[in-house]
Amino acid sequence: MIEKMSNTSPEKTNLLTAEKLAPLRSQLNKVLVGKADVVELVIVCLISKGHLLFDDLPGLGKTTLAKALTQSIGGRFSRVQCTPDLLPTDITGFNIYNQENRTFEFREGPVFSDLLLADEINRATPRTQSALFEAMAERQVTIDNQTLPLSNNFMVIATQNPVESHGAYPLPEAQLDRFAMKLSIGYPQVSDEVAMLGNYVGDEQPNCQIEPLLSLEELSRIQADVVNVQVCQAVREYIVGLGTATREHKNVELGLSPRGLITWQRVAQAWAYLQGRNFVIPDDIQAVATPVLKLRVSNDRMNSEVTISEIIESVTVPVEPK
Amino acid sequence: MGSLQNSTSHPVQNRPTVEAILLGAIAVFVVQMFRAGYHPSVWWIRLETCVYLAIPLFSFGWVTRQIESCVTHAGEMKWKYRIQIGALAFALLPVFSQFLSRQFGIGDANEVIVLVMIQNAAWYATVFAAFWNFRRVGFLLSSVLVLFVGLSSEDWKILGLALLYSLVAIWWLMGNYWSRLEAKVIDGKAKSLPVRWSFLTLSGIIVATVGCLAWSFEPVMQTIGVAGFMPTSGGQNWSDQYARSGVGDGEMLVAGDDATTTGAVDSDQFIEDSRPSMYDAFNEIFDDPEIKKNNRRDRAIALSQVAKHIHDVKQSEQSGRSFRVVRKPGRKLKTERELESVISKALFYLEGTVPVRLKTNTFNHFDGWDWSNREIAWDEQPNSGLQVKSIDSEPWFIVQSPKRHFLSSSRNHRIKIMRLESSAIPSPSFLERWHIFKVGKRKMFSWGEGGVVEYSGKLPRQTMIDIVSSVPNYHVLRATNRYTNSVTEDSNGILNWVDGLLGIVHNMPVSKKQEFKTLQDSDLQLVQTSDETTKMRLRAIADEWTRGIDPGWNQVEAIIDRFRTDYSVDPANVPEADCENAIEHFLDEESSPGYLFATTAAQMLRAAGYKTRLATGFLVEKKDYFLQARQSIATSENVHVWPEVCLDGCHWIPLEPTPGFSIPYSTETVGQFLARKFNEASAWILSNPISSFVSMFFLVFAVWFRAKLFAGFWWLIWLVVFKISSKSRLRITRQLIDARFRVAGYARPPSALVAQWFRQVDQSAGKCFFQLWQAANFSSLSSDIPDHEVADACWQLVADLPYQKIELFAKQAKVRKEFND
Repeated sequence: MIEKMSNTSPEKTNLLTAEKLAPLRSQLNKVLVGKADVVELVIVCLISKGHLLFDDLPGLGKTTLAKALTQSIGGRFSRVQCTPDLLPTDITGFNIYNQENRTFEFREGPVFSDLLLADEINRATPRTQSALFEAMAERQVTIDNQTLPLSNNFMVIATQNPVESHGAYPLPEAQLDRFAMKLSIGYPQVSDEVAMLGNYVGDEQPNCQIEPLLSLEELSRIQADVVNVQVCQAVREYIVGLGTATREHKNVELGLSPRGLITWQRVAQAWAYLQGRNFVIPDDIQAVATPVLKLRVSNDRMNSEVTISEIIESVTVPVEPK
Repeated sequence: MGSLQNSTSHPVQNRPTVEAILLGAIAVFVVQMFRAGYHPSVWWIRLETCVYLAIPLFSFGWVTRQIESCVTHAGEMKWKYRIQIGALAFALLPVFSQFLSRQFGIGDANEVIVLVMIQNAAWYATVFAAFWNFRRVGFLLSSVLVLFVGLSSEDWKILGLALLYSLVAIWWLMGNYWSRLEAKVIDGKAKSLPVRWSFLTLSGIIVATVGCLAWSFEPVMQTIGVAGFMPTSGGQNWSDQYARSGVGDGEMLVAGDDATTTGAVDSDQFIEDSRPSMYDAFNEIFDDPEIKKNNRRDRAIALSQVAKHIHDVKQSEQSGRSFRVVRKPGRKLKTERELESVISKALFYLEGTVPVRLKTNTFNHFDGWDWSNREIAWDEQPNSGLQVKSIDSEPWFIVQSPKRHFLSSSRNHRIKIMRLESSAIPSPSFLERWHIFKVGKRKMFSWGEGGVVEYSGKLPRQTMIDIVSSVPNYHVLRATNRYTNSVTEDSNGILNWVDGLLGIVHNMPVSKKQEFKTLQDSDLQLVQTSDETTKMRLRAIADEWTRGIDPGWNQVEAIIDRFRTDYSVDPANVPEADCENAIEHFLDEESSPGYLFATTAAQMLRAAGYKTRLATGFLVEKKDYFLQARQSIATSENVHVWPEVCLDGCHWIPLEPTPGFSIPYSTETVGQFLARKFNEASAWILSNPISSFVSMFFLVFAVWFRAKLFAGFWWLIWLVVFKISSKSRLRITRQLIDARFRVAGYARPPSALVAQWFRQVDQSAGKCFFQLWQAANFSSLSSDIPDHEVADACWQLVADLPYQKIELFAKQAKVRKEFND
């Protein structure tokens, strides 16, 4: 029956395009064993044109997954290992005087790529972190009064370690708000860990087998389709209600910004797209609520989950708005 | 609670102190005691006081819990606004209460309603002092109330409470402002209030202006009526039936003090009315007595007493103190009487509970035609003594009679005499005491021949008599009956325990039953009928009606009940003029006027061995209550005749054998009420076993399967709507499943997702349904899914999630939750 309904839909091509994500999903699941839910959210973030922050303990596969994602997409990839002595120009690029030509030449930084992996981002100083503000929000950088556009598919995948505070600089709220979602991978199941160990027997670096499965053009098309996924008035009101609830919740110092609302809606559109729908339902909003809100409600993992749960429980779900 | 817990202004931390609550409660009691002095029902005051005290206390506890569980600032703010709305609603509660109480004729004056509203506002503010700085408002309002009531009242109890309030208030003020006082004392600097010269100048100008204006006008030498607002005014320009006192109305008018005007009901129209009074009332209602014929036989009187009897009857007829049971036919047409104004015929007005029997005369002797006050040969107890005693600085006449256990409580009446040309005070049975304003001479009252208290002359018009009488408890009489006649009662501990539970005491006086029986066995002289045949017939009927019933009150009740059920009232079926045996006429016809019921019942009870007499007077019933005036109007329509029985040798218990008239007023405890209802229910069940069984079966079935019945009911609704409207199938199906969850005790919270909630029971349930439902509700894309496919999807979901499945899941979920908790 659903097929019949889909065939009658004018946006049926979306569903066909979404099928192209299946190999990507499969490849990432091979890299990060037993974390299908995390992989699904990573893909959601990718197709919603959002930036991703991995926040978890060392050794759980943050960087591995990020690298696998970047390698799975055909495009320019760059990586920055953030350290306290990293400078903003190390990220954005800089003008250097060419004595031969007696002119200043611009040397592009890592931001001039399609996928930027900022590893251990909280080890960079706030000054250096701030260099990403413009790039993440507007997909451009301004150097020496010259504004340079970035790739249309520009995406930042950052990782951070929450337990080591020595020599680390917490991300400012302004930067957190520019990320679409924060994901924690968590320890795998025992069986998954056993399978993972099997992958490494006789193969030093299994990630080397990763191949680009999605071209930038295909990604752009999918991202354009995601933007067109319908969000009805009732669902929009539901998102705003939830956003208002974050602002009124006593445990949240800064509630969701309008940019956060837009991001949430876009991520929900991507989630609906992955579910094979051309419209967003309240289930999609709740499905992506935790990774979206985790960035914004609290730094304490336990408290944030309770708070997010309370926020969701405080708003009535639209049932039959028509 | 988060950030608010760290804040010093968090409301829940500012709980009301004991002193503040005590002050507020004292203010409430002061107002309510003041109000009770003018209110017709003390019980209503008590009830309202309890309700008014309880509502804010319980609300505070509940609201505090709600606020503590709030997760958002907006939630807390909403509750604070609700508290404000609650304050307004609680302050207005007395107004709504008045709508209710005035339906029962127990309203308050307007100024009292305002007082109670302020009292409610003060009490609410005191309890909710933690919010919105209500503390000072509550204290201020409470103080104003206590001051106002204290100045308006002379009741020493209220003044005592006001004094207590002052002491607690000083203590409370010192406790709250001690730090400030201490600071002022320690620094030793002279303190003075800050003076604003601009304020003083403006005030002076206003006072001077008002003074000049007042001086320039001629003083208006007339009273300005504040319509019913001041505590002692009944209104001048506006007549309010619920005003607390009228101008020149009531006791002061009777006493001749400050009599300025008369109210509407005391107007000249009634005073100057020349209509006949009480002695003509019996004739008006029961028609004129038949004239005795010379050839009439007098069989009831022994020859040795004939001369004395003739003398006595003549005297009683001359003084109007006899009652003839053979009366002339040809009454006035009732419709004609009804056209006359009821108010204009008022003999007296009555305040107090109805029904009530107010007797004006009693008769012991019956000669076949006439009841009279002639003495008869039984162990007549002398009338109780009278004593004048001061109660609340007012003289009260006390009837000195022994208090019996079946007289468990009292009730008050006030009688306003209008045209009652009588010296007898219309008084209820079991009279305790009476009071007339500023009348305290003992010699003014005495016991009359009719066993009723009489005034030395005729009662003056507009005399107001306050009467207090005892109320019998028939359950105690029945228990006494059982006690007296039970052989094994001493060893029956359970029975005694149950009686004790119901408030029944076992050391009752022994019934006079045995003495009457002796007299009855020796001769039947107390049964006064025209001939021996009637006497024997009465005794045979009495024996039949009381067979198997314990002697005492139970037999009396049995006889009276038979009169009420086996005979009917027919005012037109009077004995013929030549009838020589009215009792035989009654027994043969089985329908007669009411006075023949009373006569026959009295003689029947005598035949059964009980000391009985006839009483005449007024029966004021509920239909006579005039709501607007909050009083009952007694007219000639209310004259009535009834028998009285004496079981303890002292108190005469009124009886009502005439069907259609209310049985004598009595009281019962809560336990007795419940026991009576239980007995009645048991009797009904035993008398209707099949109906009882069927009803009980269906009741148990309905209770036991209530959830399934509800679910079935919802399913029926779904089925009907499903058939009628194809457009709303998805909606009604979702509602049906939601209802099933609700009935199973596992209702979906408003924030829970529909599909997620439903699929807790079955992950695969309604896959197609949810796709269609979501598309229908959250997508603007049109789909041409045929109706039958929608219907199939709905049926599939209904089949996937039957009630039994949901119920089972709900039970398991509860167990899991309890285990986790």
